[in-house]
Amino acid sequence: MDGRVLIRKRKRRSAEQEHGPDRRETGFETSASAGVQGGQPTSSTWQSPVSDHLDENLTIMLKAFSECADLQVRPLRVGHARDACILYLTGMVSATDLSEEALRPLMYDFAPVDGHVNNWLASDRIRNEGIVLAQVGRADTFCQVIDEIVGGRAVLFVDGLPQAFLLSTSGQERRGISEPETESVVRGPREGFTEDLEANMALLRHKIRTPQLKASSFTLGQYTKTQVLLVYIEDLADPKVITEAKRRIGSIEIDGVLESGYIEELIEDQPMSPFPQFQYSERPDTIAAQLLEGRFAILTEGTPFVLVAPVTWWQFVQASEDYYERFFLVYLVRVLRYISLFLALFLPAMYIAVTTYHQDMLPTSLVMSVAAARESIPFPAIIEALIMELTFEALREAGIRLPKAVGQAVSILGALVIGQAAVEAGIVSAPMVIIVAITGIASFTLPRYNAAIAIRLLRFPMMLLAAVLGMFGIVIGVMWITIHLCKLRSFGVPYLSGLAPYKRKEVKDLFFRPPWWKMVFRPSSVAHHNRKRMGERQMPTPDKASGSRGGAR
Amino acid sequence: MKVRVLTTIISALLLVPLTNGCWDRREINDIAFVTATAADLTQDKKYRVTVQIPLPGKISDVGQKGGGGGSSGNKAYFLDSATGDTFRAANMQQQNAMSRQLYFSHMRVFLFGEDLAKQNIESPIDVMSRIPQNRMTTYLLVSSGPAADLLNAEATMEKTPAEFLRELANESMTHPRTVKRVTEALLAEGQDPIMPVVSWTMTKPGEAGEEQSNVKLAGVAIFQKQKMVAMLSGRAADGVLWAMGEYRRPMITIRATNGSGFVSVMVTGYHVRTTVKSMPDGRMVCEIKARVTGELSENTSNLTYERSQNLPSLERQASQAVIDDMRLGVAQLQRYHADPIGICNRVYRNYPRYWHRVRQNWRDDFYPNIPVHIDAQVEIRNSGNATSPVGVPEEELQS
Repeated sequence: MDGRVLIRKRKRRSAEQEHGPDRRETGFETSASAGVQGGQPTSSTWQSPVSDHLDENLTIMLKAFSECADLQVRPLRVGHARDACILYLTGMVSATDLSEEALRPLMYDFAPVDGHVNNWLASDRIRNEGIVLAQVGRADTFCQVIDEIVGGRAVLFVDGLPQAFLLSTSGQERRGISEPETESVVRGPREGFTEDLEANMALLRHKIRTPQLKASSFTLGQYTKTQVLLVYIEDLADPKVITEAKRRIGSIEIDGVLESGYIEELIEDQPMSPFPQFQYSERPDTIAAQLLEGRFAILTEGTPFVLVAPVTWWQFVQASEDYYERFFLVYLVRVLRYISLFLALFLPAMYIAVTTYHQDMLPTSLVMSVAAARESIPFPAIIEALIMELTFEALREAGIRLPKAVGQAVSILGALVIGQAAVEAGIVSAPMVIIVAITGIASFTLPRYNAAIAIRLLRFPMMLLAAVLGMFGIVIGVMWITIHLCKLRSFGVPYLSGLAPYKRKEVKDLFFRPPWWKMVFRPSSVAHHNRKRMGERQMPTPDKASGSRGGAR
Repeated sequence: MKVRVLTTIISALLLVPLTNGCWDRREINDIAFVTATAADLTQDKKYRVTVQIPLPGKISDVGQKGGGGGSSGNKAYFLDSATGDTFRAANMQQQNAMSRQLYFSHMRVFLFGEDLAKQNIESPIDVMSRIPQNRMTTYLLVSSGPAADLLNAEATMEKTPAEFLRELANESMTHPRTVKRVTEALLAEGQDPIMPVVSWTMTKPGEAGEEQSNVKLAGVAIFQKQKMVAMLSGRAADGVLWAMGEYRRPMITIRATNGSGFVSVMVTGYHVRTTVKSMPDGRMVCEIKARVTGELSENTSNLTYERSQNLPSLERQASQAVIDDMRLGVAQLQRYHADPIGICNRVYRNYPRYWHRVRQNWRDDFYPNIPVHIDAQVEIRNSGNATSPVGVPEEELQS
């Protein structure tokens, strides 16, 4: 089953419980109104220690999990002598592992060895000799027990022992590691994060094999109890930034965190800015690269998207592949991206401004064909542009949500409506179709989706400004955006770092990507104290002594 | 409370752009793009201004598939003529009878009628340099006869006569005369403007062909500052252009030495150097030297020009032809007391003190009497693909 769906179900269930008709009866519900203390609804019974009577324990547990159809209660006899019971939630533990590695040894193999009849059912003996699982924990209160059951563990109660054994099996069914669909590359690793936090962390550990890769854990969400990891490299990340990040994440109080977007919006610096202040990625290599530059990452249970901060604007026009492909090509691609950025933001606005205010800016033959195309159009240029842009946006939105089979129909419809019929019907002019198409293509070249959204949004105010004030309006818009970007900060790091404030050595990685042997230092705006990334003067040259390099001499 | 005040202020600010109604907004299809203007002088000394406005719907077949509206009629352009005391007043007359707003940014050609050029070109030049809509890169031409007629030529090669005239003006000189260049010449000390002359012509391809009206380049117009004094054509006009270094793609055609045919030399590059020198006796002497490189492009004589003494003699002849042209042109210029080459301007720059002595009445006393030494050297580098004349039998060839 898809991990995300599973989590949704869990969320819904807890909501049902809260509003269900029998909410007053269970201890779980009465404590829910007590508040967010410790992110955990508690009651006095739950705080009490596990008793040594199996029946009592089971009564309390069944009460806590009343109306939970997926709770499995498996009674057994330990070593043919003592009653016991295993509780777990279906689907969250591996039933095979449980039966092979806990049930079978406990029921058949666990027996008193001849000389040690006394006390052979003590708790450490059960753990050491009875269970062959790698992770076996111990819980003393019901509170802990309940936490562990919803966290995906099986719990073993043994009559006469005032504790519960926590059995960690290989866990629930999860999506396997696959190629990230949102960030595919031609050259580079093909693995992507999954919904499983532990697997994600392991992917990062595979990239960065050092104990200096730190991960501090947070549990967010009163009901979802989502585990969140703040990951950074100790020597590289700015300790002040890490402290601040911990403070901001720790202060989150919310009922549930289902995606990293929840966290992003709750801790960003400028919530009212259209520009993203976090980068997200599904790619472990991208995240590892950011960690190596001194940034921190936030891994969230249940989503493959990992957040990265502090960010600068330039990161959003860089793709991970920029650093894998040879640098000549990247020169070209980066220039192309900046041109596209400019077009995506300004092209419709420029068209409106030029055709309604500055007709002298076009070549004569072009002005003639634009005028001819507009002869029979009943709307002013701004209305025409809005119609087309909105149609295009709607088409794009429809294309994202629809199932693939229907998607083709949408694209045919779009091609006909936008491309041909609108022009033939005399509703929009052909040049406008071209403008919208170029704008659309340009906005797709931005490698980061959240940055592309900002550009997409800002296009509309720019168009309105151009329609009202012409080029003058566009200049006002450019100034407004520039001032805003200069003011923006992500965890104290200026958004345009490198250009404003200007740093001579860093400008080279903004517009072009220098070859690796030129990028000796990390960006100073993020990694202040430990800047050197590699040895200097590593540009490969022919060996002067022998006259040739690696020649067969 | 605070929020309410803020929203009030913001909505008030938002109303500003929405209510003032974009006062200078004009849609591209509400504009009459003037692409060519012709200015003439009427009998009663008024300006007659003719504008040519292409009709976008006729010019371009973009977006004509559906819908209605658009311009109608048969011709791809619209001509309108009006008279007024000033140039601008005539324009306003035209605007009154036009559904679209006159717009001069795309005016690429401006034609002076012969009468107007003889009278004074100042007023149109003033308008063109004063109003920002006009471009300094508009080409200026003088028509022989009334200028308005030329805008009526069929000129089927291009979509409108304006486009034809523009291409023609572009081909007229190495640096075509624009408002900028003419204004510079008008303002410079000891220099006169020059403009290409265009005239009406009829072409008829054979007896059965249908006669068509067309426009051709017909020499240069010589000015004394803002007044035209003469129109030169033929070899004199070529000579003036040679001397100015403005001849575009010249071709030198000469008679072969033994009189058996003609030889054409296509000029591939040339450089003209004009200097003014002070002689020991205090007189000024002007020197014009041309260095021309070219290649043989046609040979109808029986001479071969590959490996014989024929080549130096051809080069000498060609040089002499260029010198003759230039002599003729410069003589005409001095005769009309006009100095588009800028000989006097060079005196002014290099010998300012001398210039201040002769400045008074320089046009009539000083300029016509400057001795001008003219020299040209033609170098032929290539004889084309063929080595010897193709149509002449080998035994008749002279080497």
